[in-house]
Amino acid sequence: MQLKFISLFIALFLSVVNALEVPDNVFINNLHRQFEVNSSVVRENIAISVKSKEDGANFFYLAYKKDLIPNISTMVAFTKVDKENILTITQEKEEEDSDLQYFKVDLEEPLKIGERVIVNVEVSYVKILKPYPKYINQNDDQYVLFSSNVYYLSPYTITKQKTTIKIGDTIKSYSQEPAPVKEDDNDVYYGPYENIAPGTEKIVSIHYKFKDRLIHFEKLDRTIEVSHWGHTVNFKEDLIVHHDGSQLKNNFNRIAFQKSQFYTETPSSVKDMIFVLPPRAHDIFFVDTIGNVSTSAFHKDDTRTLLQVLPRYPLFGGWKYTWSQGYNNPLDGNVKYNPKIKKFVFQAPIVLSLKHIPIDHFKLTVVLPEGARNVDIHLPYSFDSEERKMTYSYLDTTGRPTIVLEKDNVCDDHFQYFQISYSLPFYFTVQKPLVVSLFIFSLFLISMIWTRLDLSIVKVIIVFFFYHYKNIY
Amino acid sequence: MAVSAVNLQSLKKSKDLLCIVILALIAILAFISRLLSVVRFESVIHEFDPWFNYRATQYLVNEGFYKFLTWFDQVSWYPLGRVVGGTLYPGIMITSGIIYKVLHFFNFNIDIRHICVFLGPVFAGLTSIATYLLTSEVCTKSAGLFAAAFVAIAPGYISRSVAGSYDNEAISIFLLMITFYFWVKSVKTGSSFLAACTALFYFYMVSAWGGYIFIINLIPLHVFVLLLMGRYSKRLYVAYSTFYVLGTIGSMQIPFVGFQPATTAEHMAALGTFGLLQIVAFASFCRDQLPSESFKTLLKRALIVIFIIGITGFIVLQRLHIIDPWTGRLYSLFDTGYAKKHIPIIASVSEHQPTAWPSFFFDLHILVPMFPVGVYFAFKKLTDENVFIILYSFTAAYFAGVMVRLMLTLTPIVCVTAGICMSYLFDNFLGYKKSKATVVKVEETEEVLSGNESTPESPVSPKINSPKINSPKMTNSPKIHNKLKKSEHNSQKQDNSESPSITFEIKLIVTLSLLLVFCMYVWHCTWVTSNAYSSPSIVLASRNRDGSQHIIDDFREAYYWLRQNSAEDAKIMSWWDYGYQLAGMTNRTTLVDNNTWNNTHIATVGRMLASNEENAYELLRKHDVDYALVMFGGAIGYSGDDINKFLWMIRISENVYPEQVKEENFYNSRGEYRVDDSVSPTLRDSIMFKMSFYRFKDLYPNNQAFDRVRGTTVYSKPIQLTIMDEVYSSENLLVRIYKIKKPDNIGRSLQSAAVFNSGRRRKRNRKSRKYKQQKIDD
Repeated sequence: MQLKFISLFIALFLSVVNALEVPDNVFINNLHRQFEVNSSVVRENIAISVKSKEDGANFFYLAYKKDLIPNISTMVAFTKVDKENILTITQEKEEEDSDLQYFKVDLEEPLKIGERVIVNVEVSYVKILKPYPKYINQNDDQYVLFSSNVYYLSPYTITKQKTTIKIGDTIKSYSQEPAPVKEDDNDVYYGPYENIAPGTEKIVSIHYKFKDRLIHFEKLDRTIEVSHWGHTVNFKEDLIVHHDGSQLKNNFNRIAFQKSQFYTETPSSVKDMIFVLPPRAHDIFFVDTIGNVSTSAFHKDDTRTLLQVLPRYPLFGGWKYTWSQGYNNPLDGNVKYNPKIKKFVFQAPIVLSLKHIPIDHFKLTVVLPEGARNVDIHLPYSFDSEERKMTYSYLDTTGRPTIVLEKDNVCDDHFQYFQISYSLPFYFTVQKPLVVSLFIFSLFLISMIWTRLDLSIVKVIIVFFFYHYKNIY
Repeated sequence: MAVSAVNLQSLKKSKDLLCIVILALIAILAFISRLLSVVRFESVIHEFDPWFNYRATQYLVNEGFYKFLTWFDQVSWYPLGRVVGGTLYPGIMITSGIIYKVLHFFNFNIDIRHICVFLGPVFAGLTSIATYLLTSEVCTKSAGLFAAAFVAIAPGYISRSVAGSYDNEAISIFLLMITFYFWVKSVKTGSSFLAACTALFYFYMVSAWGGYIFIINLIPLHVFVLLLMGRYSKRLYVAYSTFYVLGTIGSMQIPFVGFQPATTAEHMAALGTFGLLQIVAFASFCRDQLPSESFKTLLKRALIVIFIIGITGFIVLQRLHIIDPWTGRLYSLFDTGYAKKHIPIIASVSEHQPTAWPSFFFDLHILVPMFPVGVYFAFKKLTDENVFIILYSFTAAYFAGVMVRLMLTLTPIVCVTAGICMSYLFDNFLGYKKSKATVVKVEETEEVLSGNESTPESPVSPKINSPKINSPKMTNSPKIHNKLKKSEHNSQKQDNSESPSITFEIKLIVTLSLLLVFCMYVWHCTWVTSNAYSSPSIVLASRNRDGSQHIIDDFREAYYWLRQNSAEDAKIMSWWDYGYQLAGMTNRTTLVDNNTWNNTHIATVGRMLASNEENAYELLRKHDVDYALVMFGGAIGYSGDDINKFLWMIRISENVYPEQVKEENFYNSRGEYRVDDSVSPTLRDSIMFKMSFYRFKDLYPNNQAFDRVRGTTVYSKPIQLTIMDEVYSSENLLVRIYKIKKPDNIGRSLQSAAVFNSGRRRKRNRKSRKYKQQKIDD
C-alpha cells in the first residue's frame, strides 16, 4: 500500500517536473521484458503491447534513467509482424532538471482508438554487471551482481507486466521482493504485476555465477589500408583490454597458478582470446609495445584463420593488457570492381572483435590508395564522428584519402559490414614509378653537374700559367 | 708484350669496377650476417645499454633536439634524477634521429625501433668500406679487400653490431676506421683538407663513444714516434696541427666532454705533442736557415729539456689538481688488480675482466696467427703509415688483453694486418701469368683481386720478394719450406725478374690450403654469430626435446605486467643491471641503472638487498619504493641471476658501508657461499635471499626443492616475508616482483604485526579450547 503511494507520488512529481509533455495518447496493456545476463553485453528484449487511447496515435515514448544512458550500446525497435522493418527511434532533447531521458518511437501506421500493436524493443547494455565480492581468491569462481528496475520505466500506465531474467548458471541469491517471484531452472521470473503507474521503480538484484569472461576493450583502433600496388588489404588493430572481474585477494601466486593448471582451472582468469580472420589471411602478427609476443599461435583451414592471442600473462580482475595484431588479405578478397558505376567497391567488417565483449572507444581508420576519388562510404549505422584527411606513406606525393570514424560503446550488434566505393585516376599505375624515376633522374642530374663543377683554387693558377705559356710561344 | 700491355690497360678499368662490386658485396655481406638475430628471434632491442639508447632516441625524435640536450630524466636514479643531456654521448641517437627524419621527409614511415635495430648492421657495412680504405692506403687494394672481407664477419666486431645491439660501439668502429683512414691519408699527402676531415670524423666519434680517448692518444703517439724516428715533415706538421686544433674545438662542443680536453690527464698527451710539434717545426725552420752540426746537438738537448719540463709540469699540475687525475676506469687499464681492490663496481662487470686466451681465438680465429705476420710486413717497409699500423697494433693488442670489452678496438686492426699478410702471400703465390689454373680456382671466391693485381701493382718489387716469402713460410708450413728453398735456388739460376720462381705445385698447395683456412674462418664466424652473439638476452631460447625452439620470454612478461598493472609513478627497486631495461620496457621510475654514475646510490640498493627485513624496510620506505624486483634462475637454471651476482652487490656496498655490510657474514661457517641448509644466517635473513626463494619450495613435492643453478637443495625451513607481498612472478619464476607493504596502521613494525596476527589466532584457539574443556569438566 505504502509502495503504491510512494510510486504514485513519484509519478505525480515527475509529471509536474517533466518539461517534456508526454501526450497521453497510448497506454501499455501488456509488457514482457526479458534479460539475458550471462555475458558482458547484457541484452534486454521488451515486448510492448501498445494500445491507443485516441485516433491517429503514431508514436509513443520510451523512458530511461539518465545515468543508464552511457551503458546503452544499441536500441532497436520493430513490430512483431514485420521483423525486418526497423522502426525509427529518436532520442529526445536532454533536459537538465529531469533524471529521465525519453526516446520517441515512430510507428509505421497510425493507430485507431483501441487498436493494439506489439512492438519489440531490443536494448543491449555494456558495463552494468558488477563483480561481487570485490576480492576473491585465485581459484575462486567469478560471481557478479545484476541490478535493474523490475518494473518497466514508462511514461504510461502498464496494465500487466512480467520480467524474466535468464541466467543459465548457479544463482547465489536474488531479491524476493516484489512478489510474486519464482526461480526455475536457473532463471528468475518476476511478476506478473498489474496496473503499474508511470515512473514506478523497484530495484531488484541477482547474484549469480558468471561463466563468460568479464572483460572489455577500453580502446580498439582498427586501421585498414587498401593497397592496389601491393595487391593486399592490410588490417591492423590496436587493443587495450581490461579485466572487470573481482580482484585477487592475496595477489597473484605464480606457483599456485602453475600447479592449478594440472588439476583445476582458475575460472576468473582470461588466458587467451581467439579472433577469427578470413581464410586467406597471411602475414599475421601479434606484438605489443616491447616486441613480438612469442606465446601466440594461429590455425588455418579452408573457411577461416584462427588467431589465438595469448597475452604475456593471464589476466585477472583489474589487470590490463595492450597489444596490436594484424594481417594481410588479398585485394580481391575485399575489393571488387563494379562496372555499372565504374568504381571500385571495398567491403569489410567494421569490427574484428570477440563475441559478447564490449568496446568502449572504437576507432576505424580506412586508408584508400593514393589518388582515390569520388569516395562514398556506406555505413549500416551512424558513427559519433567522421573525419576525412590525407595520409602520406611510402612513395606518396599526393597522399592517400583517409576516413576516420569513431564510436563509443560498441558491442556485438555492431559487427556488420560496410562499403566504400571509389574510383582511381587513369594515371594511377604510372604515378609511383614516375616519381621514383624522376627522383633517380634528378640524382643523376645533380651528380652530372657536380662532377663538371670545379671549385678548386689551384685551377686558376694553372689557367694563368697556361695563359703565360701561350703568350710566350 | 705489346698486346698484354693493352690488355692490362683495359684490365685496369674493369678491375676498378670489379673492386667496387666486390666491396659492395662485402658490405652487403656484413649487413646480412648481422641479421641472424632478427631471423632467429625478432626485431627487438638487445641487452641492457641499448634499451637506454633506444629510450633516448625516442625522446629525441618525439621531443626535439634542444629538449634532448637539456633532458633531465626524473624516471631514473630516484630521488636524484639524472641530467641525461649532459651525461651521454649523443652521437648514436642523433644519427638515428637524422635517419628517421630524412626517411619521414620522404614519407617512408619506418618505426624508430626498426631504425635503431638495423643501425648496427648498416654501420658494419660502412665499417668494411672504411677498413678497405685504410688498408688500401697503407698497403694495396687487394689487401684492402681482404681486410674488408675479414672485418665484415669477424666475430669480435659482430658481437657488438648485430641487429638490435643498438649501442655506441655499433657506429664507433666505423668512425674509428674512417678517422684513421683520413689521418693516414692526410699524413701521407699533407693536405689540410684531409686533416680537417679527420677532425670532423673525430668530432663525430667524440659525440658517439667514450673510446675516442683511444684516437686522441694514438694519433699523438704516432706523431711523437715519427718525431723520435726523425721523420718530421711539413706534411706531418700540417696534418697534426689542423687535426688537433679543429678536433679539440669540435670535441668541446659535446656537453659531456666540455672542457675535459683542456683539463684532464687523458687529453694531455695530445696537447703536449701539439706543443712539441710546434717546437720541432720551429727548430727545423731554424735549421733550414742556419745549417750547422752544433745547432743540431743543441736542438736535441733543448728538446730533451723541454720534454722533461713538460712532463714534470704536467705532474705538478696534476698534483695541484689543476689537471684532473686519471679516472679509475683508466687506471684499471694499466693495473688489472686496481679495480678489484678499489672500485668493485667496475670489476663486477664481466666485460671489464682481463681477456682469456680462448676468447682471442673465439673472436678472431685464423686472424690470430696472421696478425703478427701482417705487423712483420709493416715493419719490413717502414713508411709513416706503417708506423701507424704498428703502433695501433701494439696498443690495441695490449688493451684487448686487459679488458674483454676492448677486443672490439683490436679486431679492425687485426683484420687490417691480416689483410696485408694475405695480400702479400697471394701476391707471391698467384702469379697469374704462369698459372692460369690457380687463378680460375680462386676466381670462384671473392679474393680474386689479389691474384689479378699482383704483377702490375705489387708494392713489393720481385727482387725483394724471395726473402719476404720466407717469413710466412716459416710460420705457416715447414713442409713447404724445404721445397721453397729449392725453388729459390731455381729462381737464382733463372734470374728472371718478371715471374716469381715458385713451382706450380707449391702455388697450388699454398693457395688451396689458404682457401681451406678461409672457409674455416667463414664457417667459424657464421657459427659464432648464430650461436653466441645473436641472442637478444632479453629473450632466451632453449631447445625442446624434438629440437624445436622454445622461447623463454620471462623478462618481457614481467616487465610488461609492471607496465600495465602498476601505478604510473611507482618506484621500482632492483639491482642496477636491470635499470635500463626497466625504464625502457616498464616506463617506471627506477632507483639505479646501468649508468652507474653514483656509486653510493648503488651501494645503498645493495645494502637494502643485503639487509634483514627490518633494516631493509626502513631503507625501502626512505626511498619510496613501491615494488622490488629480483631475478631468480633457480627454477630453470638461468645462471645470471641475482643470487649469483649477490656477492658483487655485497662487495660494492661494503665498499661504501663497511659497518653495515660485511662480506664474510655471507659465507657459512665453512667459508662457503651456500643456499642449502648450511646457509649463513646473514644471507638467510637478507631480503635478497627471501625474495628469491619465497614459496619456491611449494613448487616441489615433499620438501625437495632443488636449485638448478647452484645445483643444491634449498634451505628447507619456510621463508616468512612480512614487509612485502609477492604480486607477480613470471612463468618460469625468472622474474619475481614484490610489492612493499604500507606501514602498520597502529605503528607497529610489520614483523611484530605479523607475529601478533599469527599469535592471536593461536591464543584465541587455546582459550576457546580451555573454555570448552572447562565446560566439559563442569
